[in-house]
Amino acid sequence: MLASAPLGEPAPLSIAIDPESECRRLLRDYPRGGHDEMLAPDGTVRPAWRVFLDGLAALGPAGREAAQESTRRALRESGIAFNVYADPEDRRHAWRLDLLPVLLAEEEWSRIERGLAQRARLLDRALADLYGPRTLLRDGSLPPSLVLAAAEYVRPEVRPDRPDRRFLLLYACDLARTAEGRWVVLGDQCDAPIGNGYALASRVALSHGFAELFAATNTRRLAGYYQRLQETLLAASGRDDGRIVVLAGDPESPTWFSHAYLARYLGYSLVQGADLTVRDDLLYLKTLDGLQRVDLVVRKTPGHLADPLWLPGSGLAGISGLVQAARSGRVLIANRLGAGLAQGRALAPFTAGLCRRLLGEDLLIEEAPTFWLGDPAERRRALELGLPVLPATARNDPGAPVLPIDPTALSTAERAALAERLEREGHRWVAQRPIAFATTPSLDGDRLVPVPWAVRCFVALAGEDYTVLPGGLVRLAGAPTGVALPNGFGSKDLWITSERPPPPVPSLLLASLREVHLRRTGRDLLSRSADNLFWLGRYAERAEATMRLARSVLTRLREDGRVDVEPAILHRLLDLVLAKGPPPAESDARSLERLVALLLFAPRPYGLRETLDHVHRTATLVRDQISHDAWRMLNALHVDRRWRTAVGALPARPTLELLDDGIRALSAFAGTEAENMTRNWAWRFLEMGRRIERAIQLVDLVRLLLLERTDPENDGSLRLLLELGDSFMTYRSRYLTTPLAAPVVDLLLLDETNPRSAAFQLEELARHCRLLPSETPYRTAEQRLVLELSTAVQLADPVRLVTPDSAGRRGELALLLDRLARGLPLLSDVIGRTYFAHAEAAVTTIALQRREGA
Amino acid sequence: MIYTVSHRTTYRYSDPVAISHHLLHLAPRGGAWQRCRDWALEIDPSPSVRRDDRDYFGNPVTFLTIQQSHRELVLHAASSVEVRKPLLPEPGRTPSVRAVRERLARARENDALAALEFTFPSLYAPFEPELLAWAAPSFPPERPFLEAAAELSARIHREFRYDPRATTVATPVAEAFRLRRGVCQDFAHLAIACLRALGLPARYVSGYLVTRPRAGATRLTGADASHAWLSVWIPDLGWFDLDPTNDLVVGEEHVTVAWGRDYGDVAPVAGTIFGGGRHTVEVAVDVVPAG
Repeated sequence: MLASAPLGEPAPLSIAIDPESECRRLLRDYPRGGHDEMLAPDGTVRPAWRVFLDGLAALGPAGREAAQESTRRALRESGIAFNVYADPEDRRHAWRLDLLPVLLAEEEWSRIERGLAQRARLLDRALADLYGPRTLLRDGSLPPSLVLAAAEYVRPEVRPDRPDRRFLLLYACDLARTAEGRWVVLGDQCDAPIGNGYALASRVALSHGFAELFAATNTRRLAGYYQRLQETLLAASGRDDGRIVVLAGDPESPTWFSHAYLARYLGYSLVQGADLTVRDDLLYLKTLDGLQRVDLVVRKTPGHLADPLWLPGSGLAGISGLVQAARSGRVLIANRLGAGLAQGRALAPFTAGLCRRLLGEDLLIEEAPTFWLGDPAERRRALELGLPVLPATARNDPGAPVLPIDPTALSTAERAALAERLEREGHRWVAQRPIAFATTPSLDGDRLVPVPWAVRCFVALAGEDYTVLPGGLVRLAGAPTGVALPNGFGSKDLWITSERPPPPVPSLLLASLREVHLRRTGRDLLSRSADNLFWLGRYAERAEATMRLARSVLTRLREDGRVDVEPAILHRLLDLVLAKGPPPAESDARSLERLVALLLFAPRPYGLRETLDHVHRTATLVRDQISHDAWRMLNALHVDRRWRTAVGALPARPTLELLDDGIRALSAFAGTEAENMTRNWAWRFLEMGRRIERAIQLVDLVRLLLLERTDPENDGSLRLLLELGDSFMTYRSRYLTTPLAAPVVDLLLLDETNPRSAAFQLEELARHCRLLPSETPYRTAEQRLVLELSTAVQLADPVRLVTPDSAGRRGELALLLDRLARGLPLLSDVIGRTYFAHAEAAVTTIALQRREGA
Repeated sequence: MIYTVSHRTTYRYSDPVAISHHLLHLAPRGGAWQRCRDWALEIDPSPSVRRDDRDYFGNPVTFLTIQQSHRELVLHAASSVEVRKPLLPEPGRTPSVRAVRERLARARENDALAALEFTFPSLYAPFEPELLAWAAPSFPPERPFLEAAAELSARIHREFRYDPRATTVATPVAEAFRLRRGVCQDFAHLAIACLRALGLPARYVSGYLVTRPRAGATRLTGADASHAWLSVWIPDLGWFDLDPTNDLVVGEEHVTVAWGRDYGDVAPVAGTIFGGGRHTVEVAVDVVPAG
């Protein structure tokens, strides 16, 4: 099976492929039209593509299929998606990577590099003027309303006395090749360039699929660019060991994956606004170990909404005092707040003039034809031509496309309303003549077909000039023409090929993976991450408990299954979880199978489906804290579509197989947690969550299968209890008898050597609580609580616990279980309050604005 | 005229505040008709960080971080301000509405650029079609701009009712318009939104109104409170203030503190607090003619 081949293993070669005829097969009927990246106008294959195409042909259909599968698997394991919480089967959120890269020759690329570096310099100087002396507004180089009406104009950054500030450390530019073969600019990403992580993940995946072809084509590697970027950022941070964070917005935003991947690759902490706080004009990260000073923020959030105090309208996502901290010069923000002014198409109609004015050079890469609609004559012309209209500073990110308004698709009344609106606020809009895109080949079955494409390129400051990523995020277009970077039709990698092998550059991904635990030991654990790790532990344990429960019930329902307990007990067991959600329908309630299906597959609170979603969500949020293997195991569980089967659709046998797989995956996760994670705080919180949840589950089971049974030794419930507590084998090896109440209680509640017992969980919890950061010399609240619970367990006598009194009640057991059932959730709360409290949005009032009187 | 101004703001919180950041516009700025002779700010508890600076619009601004746990915050600003009576142009002889627009369309020099900035919608004074329709009849293109603006101010005074309970700081201007009620802040934002919808320059002014109750005279609404009005730009002549709440052309009884696009730029006390629970605010303003 290919699917089980390890990553990076070369695809099996098919025998007896004649590369020449295979190549002809691939190229048959390849249509000629406008400029194509692979085929020259005379029908010959361009030099940059020859080696690649031969290699592709030599793979044969089976080899290509294998490469496709290997790429797909690598992508899936990277967890790439527009939305981290999304169902991986959801096509809207799936990331589609075309197998064939776009290949460009180094010579051609070096022209683009020069053009992009020039453009970065130009926009940076334009921003420095607009936030400084503003001569461009006074000498007529730019229409003032273009700047003064823009929401992205961050006024606190205007400093006429500081004309030399750098605005762009990072920059991205959307380029298209036209059908005539010219390169044009489709848009600029100046505020917080986005998509880098997608480009990286795509490259990593494709270089798995095409390992040999990648080497054979002498494709330039990406790592050198990121090393220079790291050097630039470290130098900008002003300290040899400056702390750098990547500030991202909402984890549910389509671009979160990209930020997370980039942060991990560069080895920086990924943070949200709530993780940062300003004190003494300095910016700090809230960690478990207290506040840690931050020197540089790689900002992925809108600059004009960065600080609710100085920038009205920011809302809670901003960081109060950030503007002040930046003004004091003691934290650097990359890019500087306000860089978004040059975003999108805002400056496009003026760049040629600005380039001569500011740099004394001619613009190297021309603009896609753009009209600024603040100019009455341009506006009239654009409307007459019926050109698509878009906001001047629109972002155009993967998963969050800019939707241009097509005036030709509007009714007469709508067109009039648009004209009226543009009359009033045309300065915030542009119109653009659609570009006919050049094409590049894509694989369709066993032949190549041309698809229209454009690309987002990434640029970073390196020393005094800009350096360009030798690659990019290629986006495929769904139509032959367009006005912005296409969106929603899949991606490709971009390979810059050379005649000579590139110099070796070690990948940063491996370096950062090797370093991650060393660097993270305690030092930087975010309070928010501690919270998520704790809950990941709880959810993973809960999912496993639910699976075990369902498995035990299903096993007894099989025709050949053991009939050792009454169905009523199984009913009660399922009810333990189902009762936490809405009551099942009458028709379901009578059938144990239906109830199991409900428990496993229905989207309901405490149901397995929801628990697994929680596992995936929390794991995604702490991906940089758990090992790569641990993440892959959990992600594999998430992408297994069998869990998303329709309620009741699976018969017993495949469901049991599924449950075995699931329990195995979760046990494997627990195993990596135990064996592969450094004993840092991240691990401790994960463990504490797991221990608390396991103890809670156990207490529920003992109550149901022992305390509430009148004759547990003979009605089969003790055996079930041992099975669910994963202690059956231990019991058998010790006692060699049918289960008896006292030894079962001893094994499951009191025995500190049994890793599944309540006593063991409490002992572990006590150990973790002792080692947590604390400011008091005395016992903390959580230490006292654990001590109380574990003392109660230690003092208990198993025989007295299980022996009924004259009324048939086991009062001491009831008391102990009650104590644990109350104490354990309380412990969870206390830990939450103590360690995660400032992880929550603690800002209770935003803008203490007092209304003015008369 | 010289005034002694005392502006004391007290916040009380139901729970302790661990840390708070504040941005204050409490120092009267200088202007064509005003000079701040003296200003002092007392802060209790004392802040860990205090920065006195000027904002983009040239207003004095104070940034504070209070890092000690507190349940009460007192900000007391005291100043001495000299105000002169503005020399008002004859409204009927000011440039026409059309001339103002044309001048802004070619804005290149600093004062026109500064005025252009105040013709665009902002957070508290967004574009509203109903406001445009309501205001437009006062602004035929050939009408002198200040005359038209004064009429707008008078219409607001006539058609709207002063009612502190009708609106809050979060009430959008369109709702205050439909209610035909509000306070000075609503009326200033209304007038500004109307003028900007017509492409005309208007800025928000925050300050104080002096009241001197005389025997038999009606006491002006909002005596000794902070106040808000608006200012309009007349090419070559500068900015002139209008007070729609009291239908006054602003004279020497208005003390200016700060101006900006709207309230969001110049709120006297803004802040972000961590913790604090519920809070109450108490404000005491005294503006007393000196000597």
